Order: sequence, then C-alpha cells, then structure tokens
Amino acid sequence: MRHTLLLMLLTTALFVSGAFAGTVRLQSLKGKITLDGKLDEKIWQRKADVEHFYLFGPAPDGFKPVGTKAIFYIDHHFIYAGVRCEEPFMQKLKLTGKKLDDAVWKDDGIELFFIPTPAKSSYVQIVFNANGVVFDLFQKEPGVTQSDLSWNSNAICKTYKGKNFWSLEAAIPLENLPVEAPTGDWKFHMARNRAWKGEQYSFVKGISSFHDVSKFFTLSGVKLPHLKLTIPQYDLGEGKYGINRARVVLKNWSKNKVAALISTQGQKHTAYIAPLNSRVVHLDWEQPFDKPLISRELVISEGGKVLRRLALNKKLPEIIPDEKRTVFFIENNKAIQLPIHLNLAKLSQRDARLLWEIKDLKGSKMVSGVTTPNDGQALLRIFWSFMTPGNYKLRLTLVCKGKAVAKVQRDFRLVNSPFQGI
Amino acid sequence: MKTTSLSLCLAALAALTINAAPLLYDFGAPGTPVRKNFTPLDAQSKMWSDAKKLFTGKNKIVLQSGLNKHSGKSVPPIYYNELTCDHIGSKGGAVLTFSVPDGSYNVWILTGRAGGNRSQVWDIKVYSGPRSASMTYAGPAEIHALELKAAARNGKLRLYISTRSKWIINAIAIVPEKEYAKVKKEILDPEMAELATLPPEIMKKWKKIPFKSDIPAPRWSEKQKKQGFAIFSRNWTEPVWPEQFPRKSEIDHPVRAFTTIGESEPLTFSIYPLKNFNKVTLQVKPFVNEKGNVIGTEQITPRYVKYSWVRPNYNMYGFYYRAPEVLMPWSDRTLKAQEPLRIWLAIDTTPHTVPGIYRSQALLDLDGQKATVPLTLRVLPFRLLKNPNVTFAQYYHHPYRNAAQAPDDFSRQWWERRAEYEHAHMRDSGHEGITGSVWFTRNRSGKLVLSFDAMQKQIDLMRKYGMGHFPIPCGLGTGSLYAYYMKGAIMGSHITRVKMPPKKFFEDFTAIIQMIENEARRRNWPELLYYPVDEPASQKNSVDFMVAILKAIKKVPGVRTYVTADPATPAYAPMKPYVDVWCCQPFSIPKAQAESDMKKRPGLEYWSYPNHNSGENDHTLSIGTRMTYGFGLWQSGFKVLIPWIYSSCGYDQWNNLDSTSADFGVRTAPDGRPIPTPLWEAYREGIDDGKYLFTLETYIKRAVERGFKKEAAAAQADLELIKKNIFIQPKYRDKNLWAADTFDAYRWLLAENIMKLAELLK
Repeated sequence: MRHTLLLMLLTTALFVSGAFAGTVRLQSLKGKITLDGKLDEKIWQRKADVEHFYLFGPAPDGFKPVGTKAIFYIDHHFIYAGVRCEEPFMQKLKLTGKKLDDAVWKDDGIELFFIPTPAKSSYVQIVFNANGVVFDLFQKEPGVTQSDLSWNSNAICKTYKGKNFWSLEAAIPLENLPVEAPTGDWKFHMARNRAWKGEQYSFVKGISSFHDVSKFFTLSGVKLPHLKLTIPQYDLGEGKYGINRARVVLKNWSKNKVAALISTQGQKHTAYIAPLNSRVVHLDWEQPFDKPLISRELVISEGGKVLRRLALNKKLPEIIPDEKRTVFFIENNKAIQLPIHLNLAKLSQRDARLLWEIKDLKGSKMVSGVTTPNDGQALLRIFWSFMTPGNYKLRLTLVCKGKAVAKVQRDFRLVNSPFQGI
Repeated sequence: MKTTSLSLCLAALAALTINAAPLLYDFGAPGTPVRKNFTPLDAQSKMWSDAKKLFTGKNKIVLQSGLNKHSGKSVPPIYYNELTCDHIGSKGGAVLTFSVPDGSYNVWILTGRAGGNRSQVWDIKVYSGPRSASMTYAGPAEIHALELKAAARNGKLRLYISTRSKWIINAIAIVPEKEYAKVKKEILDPEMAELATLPPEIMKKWKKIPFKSDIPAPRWSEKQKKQGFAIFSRNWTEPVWPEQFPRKSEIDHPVRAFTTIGESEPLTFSIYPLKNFNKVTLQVKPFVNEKGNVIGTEQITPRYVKYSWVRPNYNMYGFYYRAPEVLMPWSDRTLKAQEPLRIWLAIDTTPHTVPGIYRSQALLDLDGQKATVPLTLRVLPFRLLKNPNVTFAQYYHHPYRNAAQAPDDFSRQWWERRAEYEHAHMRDSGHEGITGSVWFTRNRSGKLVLSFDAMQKQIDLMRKYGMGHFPIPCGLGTGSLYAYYMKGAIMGSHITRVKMPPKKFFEDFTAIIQMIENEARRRNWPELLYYPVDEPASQKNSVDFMVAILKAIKKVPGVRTYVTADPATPAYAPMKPYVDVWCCQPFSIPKAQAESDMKKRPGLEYWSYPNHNSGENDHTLSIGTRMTYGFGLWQSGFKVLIPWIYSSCGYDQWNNLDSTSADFGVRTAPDGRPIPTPLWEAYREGIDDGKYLFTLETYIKRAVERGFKKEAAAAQADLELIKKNIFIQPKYRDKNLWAADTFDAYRWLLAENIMKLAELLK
C-alpha cells in the first residue's frame, strides 16, 4: 500500500507539473503605450511572458526555428499584447487578408485564445496578420456549437516591419470579452503562423490543435476591481421572423445598486441590479416578415460606458420552408399528421394562424382548415377517408395579427400505405 | 507487498481465517502497486497449482501524454491503475484454490490491458465445476470482467483456467452469493466504470457536454406507471439518446417495415423504463405470413444499442458526452430508470422468401412482467437490382497484417478468421472493394524489397468474397523510397516537408511501378490504382512533387493514378492531367460537371470518402449517411463511395476517450465477428435506396422497350418528383434533410412503381 501511495503521488505530481500545464501571469499596465507596432516603449523591454514556442507538426530536415516573444498587460479597459516575431525572410511574408474577418489565419500572423469564463470553456479566438488585419470569433461550446463569426472583439492592432522581424502592438477591449467575474484565473493560448514557410508554432507542447482548450495555459493576474457588472449569460433570441425575445443575465459585483442600460435599434431599457445580485432582463425585438436579413445589435452600458456589444447577424430562410415532402400515405382512415415547420418566433405564434386548403389538379377543393402554430410548427391533421390516391395541391397561408405574411403552394402525392388494410 | 513471504503469510491467514467475507485479490509482481480494498497475489503463491510456466507482466502507471515526433501532437499513454498495471498469466492451464467456507459464491475476474504486442489475441476460460466463463480479445488495451458462479466444498473453491493462446488475470473477487450485489455495486462496478473511461485524475479535467432535448416528458398512463415502462418506436435513422423521452406519437407506435426478396431490413423499438429493472429478456418469434410461410429466427438478428462515452471530435480531448453508438448482440439487460433501451432487429429475407405480410412478436420479460410487441414485415414480390456503375468500398486495416505478426497459431488464425468475417460482412452489406497496398523499399545495400505475396493473399480473400473486380487503390512505399534517396529525410504529414528529390528517384519509381504492374498482370490481379501519397497538401512544394511523381507513374503504359484531394481546389490544377481517379470529400463538384468531365476523358473517375458519415466525429448522423449513400449519391455523379474506415480503434475498442483518436466504425466480438453500428446500417440502407432507384430505372427502360410508354412515363414522372425534391448538398449530415419517414415514403413510391411495371412485364 505504501508503494501504491508513493507512486500515486509521484504520478500526480508529474501530471500537474508536466509540459502541458503552465501559467502566464498578466501584469498591470503602468505607463502608456502608443499603438504603432514598434514595441519601443520601456514596458516592452522586460523579459517576455511567452517565448518558448514549439513547432506544430513534424520538423523538416534542416528546420531552423524562428523566435517569437510576447508580453502582455492589462488595465481597466484593455488587454495589451506586444509580440515580436523573428523573420529572416521578411520579403516572403504571406499576407492576403485585407479587412476584418478575412481568413488571416492563413497568413503570417499570431493567434490569441482567451477563456475568460474558465467554468464554461467558452473561448474567443483573435487572429492578427503581420499587417494588423483582425479575424475574431466566439466559440460558445468547443466542438459542439458553430463558431460565432459575427462576434467582434473590436481589437486594435498595429504592426511594424523591421529588417529581419515584424512586431505588433494590440489592444483588446475588455468590454467585448465574455468576462464573467472581476477576479479569477482565465485560460490562454497563443500560436504563430509562419504561413509563407508552412510552419505553425504553439507555446503549448504537444497540443492537438490550436483549439484544444484542455491544453490551454492558465492566465493569472486578471484583476478587474472596477468591474461592477458582468454578463454571465445572454441570448439574443431565436432569430426568426416576428417578435424575438433577448435574454440577458446581469451580475452586479459591487456593493451598490447598479443601473444598466440595454438598448437595441431604438429601444431602451434600464435595469436596476441589487448589490451582489444577478438579474435576468428580457427585451423583445421584432424582425419584419419582409426582411430576411437579421442585423441586430444589443448594447449593454453602465454609467455611460459600453460594457458589451452583442450582435446577431443571419440570413433567414423562408417563413414556410419547403421540406420537400411530397408523398403521404393513406392508411385505414387514420389522420395524416402533417407538421409544417415555420420560421416564426414563439412570441408571434399566439397571434398567428395557418390557413390550409387542399385541391385536386382540376382545382376542386377537397378539404381545408385552420391550425394554430405551436413550438415552431403547425400540425395539420388531415383525414383522408374521402380522398383517393393521386396528385394534389396544398395551399398554405400564414396569417399574423390578421395580415397574410406568407403564402405558398406545394404539390403532393397521396399513395396507399404499404400497410393499408393490414 | 509484494514479497513471497508476505504472500505466504496472507495465504496462510486466508486459510486459517475461514469466514464469508469477500476476497479481493490484485494479481501481479511483488513490489508493484496494489489497489485499495484488494490483497496482493503473486505467481509464487501456494494458491496456484498445476500451473504451467506462470509469467508476470507489469506496466508503468503513467498519466502524462507523450509526444509523436512525426505529427508533433501529444499521444496519451495506455492508462493503467493498480489493478491493471500488472498481471499473472500463462500459455497453459492453471488451478487456483481459495480457502473459503462452503457455500455459493460469485467470482469476478478482471482480464486484459496487458500492453505489448498488438497482434496478440488473449484467450481465457475459467471453470468452476460445471460452470465456466470465457473471453477472447486482441491487443494491448482491452479489459474485460468475467463473472461466474462457483461453489466451495470442504473449505475450498477451485478455479480451473485454460487457454487456446495465452491468458492473463489482473484481479479476482470471490464474493459470497448473498453479498455479491452489494460488492458489485460498491466496489466492482466503480472499478469497471473507471477502466471504461479515464483515470479520475484525467477525467476530472474533462467536461461533460449536457444533452439538450426538445421532447417534453409524456403523460404516462396508469398502466405504464404500474408496469414501470413504456414501449415506443422511432424511425431507425433517428437516434434514441440516453437522456431523452419518447415523443407522444412514438409510444405504442406500430413496429413495421417493408422489404424485398433477399434484402435485410431493420425493425427497431425501445423500452423507456420508469424504474430500474434487474433483468430484461427478449425472445423474438418467427415471422409467419398469411399463407403460413415462415421467416425463421435464424434470419432474425436481435441487437441492442449500446451507449458510449464519446468525444465531439475524433482528435479532441477534454469534452465528452454519451451517445448511442454500437449495435451489440443481444444479451439479457439491466435497465436504469429513465434511460431508454433500443432494441434493433435485423430481418434478412432470402432469395426463397415468399412475398406477403409477415407477423411476429417480440416477447419481453422485465423482472417477471411480460410485454408483447407486435411486429409486421411486408415482403414485396421483387428483388432489387444493383447499379453496376456505382461501387461501395472501404478503407481497411487488414487483419492479415496482424496475422503475419501474430505470436502464436491461435492468434494468427483468429486474425485470419476475423478477416473472413469482415469480408463477408462488407459483401453482405453491399460493399465490393477495399484498399490495398504494395509496400516497397530499398534496403541499405540498395536491394529492392516488395510485398507481392502479402497483397496476393489479400486479393485471394477479396475474390473469395466477390470483390475481385474492384480497382484497388494501392498504397505504395513512396516515403520509404524518398528516405532512401534523400538521406533518411521524411516527407512530413501530407508531404508538407517534401523537397524535390533527384531525377533518379523518379526514374526508380517508374521502374518499380512497371515491376508491380508486370507482376499484377502476371498474377491476374484486379486493376491497381497507384496511390503514391495520401491527402497531399495544396502548397507549392507538395503539388510540384505530386506532379512529378504522378508523371513518373504515368510513364508506365496503361496504368491509372489515384489521388485523395479535392479537384475543385485551384492549387491542384497542375496535377489534373496526371490524375485518373480523384477521391475527395463528398460531393465537392456538381453532378453535371462530374459527368461531363468523365465523359470527356475516358478513365477519369470521381470517388468520394464521406468521412463525416463514417462516425469519425459524430456517431449519430444516420439520416445524413442514408442520404449520402442512396438518394444523394444518385444525384452526385460520383462513382464510388469509400469512407475512412471500416474500423478504427485506438487502444481499447470499448473506450472512446483513451487514445489519440476516438474509436469509430465496426467493432469486433470475441470470436472475431463484426459488431456493426447504426451508421453502418445507414450505409446499407442508403445502398438499398440506391437499389430501389436503379431497379425502377431499369424497369422503366424495359417497359419502354416493350411498348408500355404511358406507364413508363408515369413511373418516370415519379422519379423526377423525387429528384426535384432532394435538397442537393455537398455533405449530408442531419440538417436540411428530409424528415426520417420521408425516406420511406419515397422508397415506397419507388416500390409501388416497380411492382406496377413488373406486373406489366411479366
């Protein structure tokens, strides 16, 4: 048993202090930075926070690693990054990204990953190419949900190109990071793309991908005592036609009552949050039925200062999408339950009715009805007892608050079920 | 422990202290770690008798990942704990005697995770009186628990151990029968749960992704509440998740399907338990039609869907969730309240099955409560035809490679038999080919070494199972020859590090291809598609090398090349004149372009590896997989589907979390037979959808030839209706697809038309 315990202790210690665990300590900014990419301020002259980078992938023959050094600071508003990338072949830099959210991860540049919500693993990825072009995304659930490319860090990046190196200075606003608490360690990863040479580097040895959050380092030193209000949860709503309901959870970390202003395209709502308390705030907004593009921004401010800008940008499909189901079974006088999916926000469903009508190909009406949508669909119950196999037309009209907002006609075929009469 | 003297003392103590307490032994070498609650037992113990050359194996308990120098990525170790880090084993028999009070006992035996040779097949059979328990498994990482009832007489309980190759034991528990349930729940089950995932120190760093269901709790009937369960039926293409309620419409929904002569069709239903059940048995009655014809139980394969802890992405660490994954052969089950159990019956009709409406019953017994599930199968009066212009194949890790390295006859024959089972399985599921390879290298003296005989053996097996006409994508020893000419250099992953080798490399390559081709023709092999590099990168040095090596291959008259890359990627344009078969993700170029390109250049073909459908990442995309293989392929213009891979297992095939890549694809039973997955069945059903389409197309042609133009036109109109209603996409997953039952509605429309035309053509 003694041996067992000793070995257990040893192996645990190995794991904790192993190559995959590590901490980067964030220092508070004392002084000023002129964002010009030059790293000429005194604050950049200290020992780097991150300087050991490992090649991601196998090393080729004659591989010559290039140096990368990074220093980080934080103040009340920004995280600052100063990065120097050694590059003996400056004329070969690959720089194709020109504007925000271009695919600059394919360029020579650096990538920063932050998990400001360690309890959740949601992370942001911010990529700068050597021209200072930014790409950024928010990943709510790693490997599960689609990346939110509409998220913007509003990071500012300036770069400088020397004879055999390039450098950058970046300021990443805290207001757009999904920070959840004024204190507590974050998680962090940094990578460098040396695209022209086909080389990638990470400061985490053996990471399986740059997004392998299980291998991210701890980022300590995050203290935001001025942070009164955080937004631990938010949801801009279903993102459908009609009335959508945004939901924002606000957490007040201070000992005083805080007033938060939540605004979206002309609407404003002030929410008061009790000291050291959380509050859920709902805000309804409407997506017009004739506008298939959602471009919605929700701004949360406190004391005149913007805390977070949340955006939802997407193209909507048709209100009554074509599900391409054209064949239905007749079976022993049973009703066919025909679900018609609707891209209609839940709050608008109570005001909506789906009018439906079935005609034969000669235009004779066979049956019609009205159905109230529920849970994103209208369930048509059609009794076929009086109908025969053949081709028919189904006309659907969605009426919302007494106004027809969508009309479609679908062909469909009625056939005897394989189990008719059984 | 572990010293011999101490072990002797303990054995003596065990003999003197006769009581009915559970005995828990951790087998292994003296001085190695011992599991809490367990007593050490080594090979010198007097409890062994008639033992032939017992050996002791041990492995280090390491939790830290290593580094793959080739890929630069971390590689987790095989995780051992105190129970599994060491073991005692033998190539022969042995007897273990425990001094215990007379009475009935349950014996629990832990065997596996031996480390070492991947080709070793372990085999253990333990007898106690007339009862026995056995297990056969391959490789270094699998771990199994055997359970066996035993009786002690005259203060002794004896276990007789035998093997056909080698056995090992990591631990044994001897538990009085009355205490077994408690010991199992409190000690043994938690041990197995840990061994089936990761060590607690690692596991606590992983996060469980919560399951989100949009199905509300049904209102249970009084009957369901009283009996403690409900039966429900869901279309097989939709997964039944372990934390999901049935839909109201699914409860007591009829379990039925239609099929044709000589087809296999799934019938599935599920039990939703409202409380725990200790034992669930299943008996499926033969299907009998209205004329008394029978589909016997030998044509019915009952399985259940096993839930596994899986990762969201095959190479992602740190996140896991529970998903329905493997179709295990049926055995009596226990049920946990609120966790549904899906029962999956595969019904095979034969060429002699008489058409008609067949009925059967599934008889369930849940802790004495009986339930009968009516089953209906309509067998339609025709046989499906296979389109000769499309082919289904698999990338394949050939068991013959393990057989060649097997350390004993039993292991070798197990791998060979496994290869036979797997070929039969692929054939029976509509597959006609696999990948192959002719490896070559030049040794230090420059002598060329080629693996013709190994390939010959594989081709013989392919031919035996009807795969002899498939052009074989043939892997080559490009990297090895490159290293020979480039002073040991490697080409790197996806040849990203490749530099242009000297001219002599390419001349040699051409000569070797000529040699292989001559041998292939001499041996009358199927066509070999020369496949020099897998998934070359699109960067300039990689493409330049590819162009040069493809040119070198094409210097051999009449041969075709095979490249796994996307023809739509502009960077690959320089390769185009030298590529005969492009194999890429589905379906990266539109149907019209694929057909036009192939028409313009004879010999050019577009193949696809739909890896998103193989379970590489998501194990539950059955609906998209069915679409890819059937209606999707029909409207793609591609000729072959050949996913990676028939079976991909890292360490333990039953542990998805334990190695660099998650496991996916077909698994292997103790006897070497394949254990399919719902995705495999989706391949098969998608292939069948394609057969329905081709059968109708064929009947339409025949009807036109016979003058039934009006009837043929009506059938053609229905084909066009289906074509018009496909959501054409490059990749079919689980979004923007037909509803599950729409597939069957369209299949039925095809069947109705086939039957109408067949009647006319009689």
